[in-house]
Amino acid sequence: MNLSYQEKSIWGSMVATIGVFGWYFANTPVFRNDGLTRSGRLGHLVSAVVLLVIIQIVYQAVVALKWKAEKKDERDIQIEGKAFRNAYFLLATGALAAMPAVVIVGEFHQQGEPHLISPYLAIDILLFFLVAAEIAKSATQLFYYRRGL
Amino acid sequence: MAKGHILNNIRTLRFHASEMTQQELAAKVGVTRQTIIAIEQNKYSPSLEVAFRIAHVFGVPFDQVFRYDPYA
Repeated sequence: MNLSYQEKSIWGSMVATIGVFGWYFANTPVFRNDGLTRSGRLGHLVSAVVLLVIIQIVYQAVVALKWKAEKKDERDIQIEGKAFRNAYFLLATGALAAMPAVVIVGEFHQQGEPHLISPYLAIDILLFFLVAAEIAKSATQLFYYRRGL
Repeated sequence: MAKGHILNNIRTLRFHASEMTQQELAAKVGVTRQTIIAIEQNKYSPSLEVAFRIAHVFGVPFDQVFRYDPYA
């Protein structure tokens, strides 16, 4: 398959995002209160973000060195626009899903059973949909690069 | 509603322009080679500006490069 510079860049970004946040969510109980302190939970998240940034920098540098970097043209921008639209729907869904999560966590606290639910539920839901939006954006771009606009 | 499609003769025009490569055309028009490939394969309809620039590169009128087929 003959991939363009943009496609190579997007593939790397998407695989890195899936890998790193796959690891994060696999090791982070979203619903259950695992007793992790706030700093412990923050440590997981910061580790994931730092790892993703490092992988992205190395990969994008390798791609730029191996294949000549190309400036985005009107087609790239149009495809990106369609991709952002799909990502927006997912992010909006995440924002809506996080709202009841805040209420649910509050209810558990009021019932005196905060140990049964993760206090970070709303944050994890938002983060999940943010990552899903990023993946959807990349997948949409790759789809339109192959199929055409 | 008819779907319609914009078709083009870019491949033929490149051949007649001393077998200009897709990369050369892309550089002259100011787009990527992938975009030229997509236009040639009718997978992407360029903006008016890019379409006119392509015609300008070949030194031919616009309608010798692009045509609209309402039934394609």
